Amino acid sequence: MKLTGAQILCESLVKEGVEVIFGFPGGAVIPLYDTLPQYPQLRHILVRHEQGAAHAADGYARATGKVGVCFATSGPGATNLVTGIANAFLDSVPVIAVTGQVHRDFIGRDAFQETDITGITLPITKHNYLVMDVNHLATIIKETFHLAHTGRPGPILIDIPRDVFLEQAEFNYPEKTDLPGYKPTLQGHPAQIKKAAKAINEAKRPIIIAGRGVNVSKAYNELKLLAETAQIPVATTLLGVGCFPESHALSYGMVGMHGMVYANYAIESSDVLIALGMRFDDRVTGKISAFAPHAHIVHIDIDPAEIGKNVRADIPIVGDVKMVLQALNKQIVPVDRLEWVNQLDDWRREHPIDIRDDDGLLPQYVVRQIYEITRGEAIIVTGVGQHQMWAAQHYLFNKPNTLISSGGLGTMGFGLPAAFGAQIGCPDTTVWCIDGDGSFQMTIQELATIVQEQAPVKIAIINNGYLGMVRQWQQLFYKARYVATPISCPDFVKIAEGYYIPALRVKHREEVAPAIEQAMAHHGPFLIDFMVAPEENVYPMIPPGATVAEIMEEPRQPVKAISDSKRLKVSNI
Amino acid sequence: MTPTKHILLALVEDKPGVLNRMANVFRRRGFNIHSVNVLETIEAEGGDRPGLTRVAIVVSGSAVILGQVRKQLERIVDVVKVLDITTKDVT
Repeated sequence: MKLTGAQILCESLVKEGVEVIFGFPGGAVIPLYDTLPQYPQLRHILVRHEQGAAHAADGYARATGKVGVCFATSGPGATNLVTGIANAFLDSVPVIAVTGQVHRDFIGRDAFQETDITGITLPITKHNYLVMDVNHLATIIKETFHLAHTGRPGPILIDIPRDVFLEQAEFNYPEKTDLPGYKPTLQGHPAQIKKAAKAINEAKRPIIIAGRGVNVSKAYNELKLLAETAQIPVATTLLGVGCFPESHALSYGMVGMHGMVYANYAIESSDVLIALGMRFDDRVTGKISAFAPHAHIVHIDIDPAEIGKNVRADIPIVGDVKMVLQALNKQIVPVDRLEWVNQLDDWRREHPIDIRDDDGLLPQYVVRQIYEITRGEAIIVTGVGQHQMWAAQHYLFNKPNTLISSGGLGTMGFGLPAAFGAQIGCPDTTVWCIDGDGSFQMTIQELATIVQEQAPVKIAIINNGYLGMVRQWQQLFYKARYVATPISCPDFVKIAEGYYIPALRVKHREEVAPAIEQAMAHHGPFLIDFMVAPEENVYPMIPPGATVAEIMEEPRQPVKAISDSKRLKVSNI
Repeated sequence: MTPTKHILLALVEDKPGVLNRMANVFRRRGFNIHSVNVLETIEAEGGDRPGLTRVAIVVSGSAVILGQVRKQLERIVDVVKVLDITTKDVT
């Protein structure tokens, strides 16, 4: 039977098990949208800006482990996706973006709403396609899904001209793909695994850094077995947070620029560093030449191009983290590394990540209260900035994929749409969006989407009246010249009410817990505007390009009470 | 590390835009391409599969970074294989 291009796309999405599409229509995709009602099993969710569609697909994918799908029209619709696609690329998230394109005859002639989106997204997609023949469409979609979630996951874009949606072809969905240039290595090389096992067995001070690859390959049990058998302390990257339970005795939290002091000390002192599914981002390593100076580095990653890219790998193993660990664990000898583990525990006691006693409303305290009241069971989605680091530091993540955050790209505005996507994917889980007042204003329009879809996302705005992370850098490294960082806010409570979302403003410490409880008790979405101490900084901090020796810890003097007069108000501009 | 000239030979799928994807990797890593030669296509047997094309690229750079670039080229889905076929100094 012959189907139109639009029908072929929808049929293929159904065959791939897609249930939700985040999108926004426009001229070039009207034929596609016109076909959607024939496929009630595909739930289309109308966002308010295409960036929101891409982030929602991203949040959905991270929370569920499925592929996230988004639609946009040609030209501005497609370019509005770009930030979201780049975000998914940097964090290796399987997102499929389908964009409409102008009629084939008009391509390359600067037609209305034409943009070369495959050219634009070339460096920020795992792969992309411009479909010039409807007969190729089914094969391309098959390839797209295969590419998106296998190997190192990543976003794929399919650009479909308007007339290809309308043209007909026989529909045969291929059983498998034929991609001679794409064969991810899954099993690690046995000789390398043997070498790694020997290094680990002989190690005195080993440490594991677990990254997003552990989440992607679901290597949780294998990681736990390795850590427990060989008594190896486990630290994680930001995107690895939760892949190893943070309440585990061998968990030493996040590493890097705002990582735990003890985790960074452990890396500094380690003799064998086992890097699992991570890529040695500069936010993890600091000054590369001084990173893990005494360590033999075992780097396990599925992407061969990551090996040796940023940090030398003494024992590289290309493969799927889970499969490699399964093979590796068989050769690991149980040992007792009491001395080393005690050393880390001493460091932890000396440099705890605690919250100081303060009469003011501390952002860290807000995060901690959200943790207490959700009993650590929520999915936490963040924007980017100080609040993001406080969320990562002060919520105890015991389950994988419960911290959803923009790591590689550091995209402000990720929080709200990604939280929405996560909530759509996990309707029975509590989802908290912990956002900054700056980040939140970047994609605030998605409040309407949340309401339209009745997604019960709880929103905590950590409102300090500044673009706080930049302000912190200005304070510490630019002699407190606060250029363009004081930011005024609308009345978020009134904004929320305008979107029919109940909301509260919290100014005092004692109001925090009742407000969070009220939000949790409410059936639908809820917003709390936490007016926190404006000039609170994120500590610990390793200054950019610096070494572990230069870690800045929280100064132990009381901080001034909240001074509301410091806030920039619209009325006094 | 002193830059030396290297010849990379890539086996790629004969599809539009492959050269663009490859050139992009060199651009991002700041390499000047001295020359590019696209050799004749090997037709695929049967079906409408695209054939394979060989692309020879001469660039100079440090062996370590070029090793990295080679892997980044192989990451491109349409690129099947990349070999460094420099056997001696090609300057």
